Amino acid sequence: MRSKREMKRGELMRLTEAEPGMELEIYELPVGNFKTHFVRLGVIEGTRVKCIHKLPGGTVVISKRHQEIAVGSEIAKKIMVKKI
Amino acid sequence: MHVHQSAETKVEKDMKKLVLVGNPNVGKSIFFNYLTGLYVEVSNYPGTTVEILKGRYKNFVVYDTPGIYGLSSFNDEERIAKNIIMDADVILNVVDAVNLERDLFLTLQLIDSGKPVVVALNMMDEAEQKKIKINVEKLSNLLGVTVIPTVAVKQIGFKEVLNAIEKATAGNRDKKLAEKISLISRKYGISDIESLLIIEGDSETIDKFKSKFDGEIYAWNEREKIYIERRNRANQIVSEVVTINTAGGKVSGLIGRIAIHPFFGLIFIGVVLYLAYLVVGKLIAQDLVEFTEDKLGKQIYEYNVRKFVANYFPVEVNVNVLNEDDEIVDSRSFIFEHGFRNSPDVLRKMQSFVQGKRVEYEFNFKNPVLVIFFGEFGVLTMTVRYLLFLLLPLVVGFYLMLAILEDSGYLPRLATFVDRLMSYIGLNGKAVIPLILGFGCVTMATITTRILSTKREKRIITAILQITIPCSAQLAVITTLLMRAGFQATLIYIFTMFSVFVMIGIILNRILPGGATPLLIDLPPMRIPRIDNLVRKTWMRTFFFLKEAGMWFFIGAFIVGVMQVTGLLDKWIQTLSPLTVGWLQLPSEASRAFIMGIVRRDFGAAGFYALDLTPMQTVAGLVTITLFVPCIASLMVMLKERGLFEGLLIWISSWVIAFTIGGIVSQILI
Repeated sequence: MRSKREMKRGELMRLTEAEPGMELEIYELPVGNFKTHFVRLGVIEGTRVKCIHKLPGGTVVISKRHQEIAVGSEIAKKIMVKKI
Repeated sequence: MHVHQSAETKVEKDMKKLVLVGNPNVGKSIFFNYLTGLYVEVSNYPGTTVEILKGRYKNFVVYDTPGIYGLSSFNDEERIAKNIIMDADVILNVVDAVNLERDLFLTLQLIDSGKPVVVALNMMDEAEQKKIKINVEKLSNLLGVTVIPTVAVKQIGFKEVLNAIEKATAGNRDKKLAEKISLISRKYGISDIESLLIIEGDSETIDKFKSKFDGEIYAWNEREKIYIERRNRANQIVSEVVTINTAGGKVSGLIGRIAIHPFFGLIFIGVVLYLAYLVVGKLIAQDLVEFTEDKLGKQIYEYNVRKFVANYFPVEVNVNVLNEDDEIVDSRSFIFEHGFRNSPDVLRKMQSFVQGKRVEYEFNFKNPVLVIFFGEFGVLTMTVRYLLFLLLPLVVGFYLMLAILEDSGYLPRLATFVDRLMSYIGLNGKAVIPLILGFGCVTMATITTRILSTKREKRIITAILQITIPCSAQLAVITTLLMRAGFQATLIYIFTMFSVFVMIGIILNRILPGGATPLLIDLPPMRIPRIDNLVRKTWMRTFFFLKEAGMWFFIGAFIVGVMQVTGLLDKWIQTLSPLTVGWLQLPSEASRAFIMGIVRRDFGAAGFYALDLTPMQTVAGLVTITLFVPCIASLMVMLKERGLFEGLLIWISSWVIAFTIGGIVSQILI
C-alpha cells in the first residue's frame, strides 16, 4: 500500500501541528474506540484529508470530500499525518 | 378503527417491525412523518430523536431511531438504536447521497446482520448540485438490496420506497463473515445479528451472553479487522458507483466556515445572542408581555372570572382608583353579603363610584374554597394568567430560537468552537448541546445528556443543568424582572450566575476521577431552517410545555392556596423569615416564592413578580431562585437518568448553593 519511497517524501507530524490549508494523509490513528469511530466516519490510515481550521485551544477541523470532522486536541495530538 | 384495546396490542404483536436507521441529519424523520402521519421532530444536530417514536404504516409498526454511525454501544443513543434494530423485521436505511462513503459503513453493517434492508438514497438534489453522480443500479447490485433515489423534503421517490418496503430482502453479506455468523448462531442458538455483534466486540451483547457461554465468547472478537475491511469495501463500492465532476469543491458554505473561524466565530456567537435578545428579551418580554399579561390577563381575564363568581357568592370588593402613573389615589370597599345578584343596591353604588375613573379591583372571597380557586393565588385566576398570558408568549419565543439553532446546524459548530473552554470544566464541546437546550427546557436537556459518552460527563452536565441553568419559562420571568431592574442589575446577575456555573464545573472536574473525553464529531452543513419545520417543532414543544407545566402549575397553586387558607403559609413565611429577611434581605413574603419554586422554577420566579423589590433585591432574589431546586418534572427525569442517590445529592446541593450564594450576593449588594 504505502511504499517506503513515498514515506520519505512526505513530512510526518502530529495533526495538531498541521496548518489550515494543508493537504494531509492520515499515517497513524491511535488504537481504541476513537479509531473505531474514525473508521465509521470514513477516515482510516491512508485517507487523504485537508486541515481547514485550527482553533486556539488546539481543536482541529479536517475535511474529506463533502464531509467536515472536528477533532479535539487530545486526539489530534495522537494522530500522525503526512503532508502531501 | 373499532378495535378493542387489548386486541389492539395483540394486533401490534403480530405486526411486522419496520425500523428507520441512518446517520445523523440524513432526513430520516421526514420518512417517518410520511409513513406514519405522526409528528416527529426533524433536526440538524446529532441526537434529537432521543425518545423513540413509534407509528403505524399499513401492517407495520414503524420505529424511528437516533442517528448513528454504526451498530455498537459507545453511548446511550447507539445502545437504544441498536436494541430496536435487533428486533426489526425490515430496515429502511436512509443514506445521504452527498456523504455516501461515510454512510455506507452503516449500510454494510446492517446488511451483514442478515436483516432485510431497503436503502433510500436521500438528498439526491444536493448531490446533483455538487456534481456527484451515482450509478444507482450498480449500487443496488453490489449491495444486493433495493436502492431508491429520493429527495425527502420534496417527497420524491417516496412511492417507490413504500413499494420496496413490502418486498424487502436481505442483501449481499460479506461471505467469510456470514459463514462465521452462522457458525456462532448455530453453536449458541442465538440470532444472526447477535452473533455479528459478538464478533464485532459489542460490549453490551457480550455482557448479555458471557455468563451463559463463559469466557470463550471473547475469543470471537475481531472488531478492528472487520471494521477496516468493511470500510475498505465501502470505499471500493463508492469508487465503483460514484463519479464526481468537480475537484473537491467547497465543503461548507461561508456561514459554516465563519461559525468555526477562530475570530469571526466569536463575533458570530455575539450576533446570534444579540438577535435572540432582540426578539425574546425586547420584543416579547417587554412589549408583548406587557399587553398580554396586564391587559388580557389581569384586566380582562381575571376580572371577568372573578366578577362571574362574585355574582353568586359573598365577596368584599376593594376598588382602588389609580392615577396615570398607576399609583393608588383613592380606595373604597364594598361588601356583598350574598353576591352581586342579590345586592343590587351595593352594586349600583359601586358602579357609580367607578364611573369615569381608572380603577383596579381586589376581590376578597369569604369561602376558603373560592379563595383557593379564585383568590390572589387562585388556581383558576393567577395560575391561568401566569401560564397563558405571561409564560406562553415567552416560551414560544424561546422554543422558536432553539428550533432555529438546531435546524440551522449551528450547534455542532458551536460545540467545536467552545471545545477548549469546556475542557476546563471536564467536558468536551459536545456538552454545549444539552447546555443550550437547557435554556429551553432543563427536563428535555437532561434527557439529551445521553449523547455524551461517559458517566462522568453526564454527571457534571446534569449537575450544572439542574442547578445553574434557568429554563425558558423561568428565564422568561427573569428577563422581565431584570428588564425592570435595569442594566446594572442584569450584568451583576449574569456575572454571578456565570461564576457559579464555572465554579461548579471546576469543582466537579477536580473531585470526580477521570478526565474529559476528546471531541470527535462530524459537522453537518449549515442550512437555512425550513419554516414549516420550525413552526411544527415550536408548536409541539409549546404544547408539551402547557401540558406538562400546566398540571404542575395547578398543583402548585392548589398547595399554596390550601396553605394560605389554613394559615400554614404564614407559618412557613415566619419560619423561613430569618433566612429570607435576615440573610437574603428580601421581604418576608418572598418565602412564598420558594414553596412555589419547589414545584416549578418559573413559578418560583413568578412569585417575585408581585413583590415590590429594589433592583439589588431583585438580583439577590433571582440568583437564589435560579440556583434553587429544579422543577418536579426535571427532578423525576434526573432521578431516572442518574439514579436516586446522585439525583437527590444534586437536588439537596441546589438548596445549599442557592441560599449560600444568594445570601453572599445580598450581603455584598444591599
